[in-house]
Amino acid sequence: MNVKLFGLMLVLLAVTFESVGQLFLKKGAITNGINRWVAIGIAFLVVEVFFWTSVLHNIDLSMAYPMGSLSFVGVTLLSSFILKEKVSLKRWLGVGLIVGGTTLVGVF
Amino acid sequence: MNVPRSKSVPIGVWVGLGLAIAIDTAVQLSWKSAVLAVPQSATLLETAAVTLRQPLFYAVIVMFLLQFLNWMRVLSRVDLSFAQPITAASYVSVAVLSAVLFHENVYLFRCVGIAFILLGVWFISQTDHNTTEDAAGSLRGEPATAVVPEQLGVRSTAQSEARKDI
Repeated sequence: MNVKLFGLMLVLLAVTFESVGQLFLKKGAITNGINRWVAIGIAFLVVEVFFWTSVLHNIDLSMAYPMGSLSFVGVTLLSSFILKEKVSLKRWLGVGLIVGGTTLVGVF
Repeated sequence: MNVPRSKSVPIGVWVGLGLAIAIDTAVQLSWKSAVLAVPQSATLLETAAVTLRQPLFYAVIVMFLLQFLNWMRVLSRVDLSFAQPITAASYVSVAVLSAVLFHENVYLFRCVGIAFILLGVWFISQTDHNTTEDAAGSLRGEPATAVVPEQLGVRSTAQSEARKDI
């Protein structure tokens, strides 16, 4: 597989782990005391460090780092669909701009 | 967390925000430098193993800790929606320094893409959110609807997670 394509897939994996990790941390934060949600959240973030290391190994930093902003998108989707948080139109607009921006950075 | 907006932001907060941008940038540059020691053909596990032997990678972990402390201090003094878009400046500093230090080709599409992302972050920071007055309650293990952990991490990926790990 092409190195850049592999790197981009790793970015998506890292961002997914970041977003799901954040979801668990949020669940943990609204649950009493130190709990398993926080532990699971931290585990996801540790795995993300593993993937991010390989992202940096495979693609330019100036491509990888801006693409990390896709975690805004992942967190917004998970907050909306799983935590049922109300997401405003402005926020969806921001999400759209980030998707557009990361596409420009990643594809071209 | 109804704390001062731009009109009366103390100098200490600006220093904290500048430090946040500098640390975010240094983390990514150091992490990338550490990974440069990995042979091109390395597998995922080999990449991790070689990186774990690089002193720079441990510098990255120390910077995560410093960033966590600095960021909590900044957030105790200003709203997240004020602090977050300012620190997105690291998208620019990382790109510029990648071009200078690693001779990466930061061409027009990449610049326009980063501009879109900055605008997107700004829009996201403008949205209303359900932040409680006592957001710290969640840190003490009390139930709260605070957005603190979630939005903390939203700031940026990878470089921010250890900030919450610690």
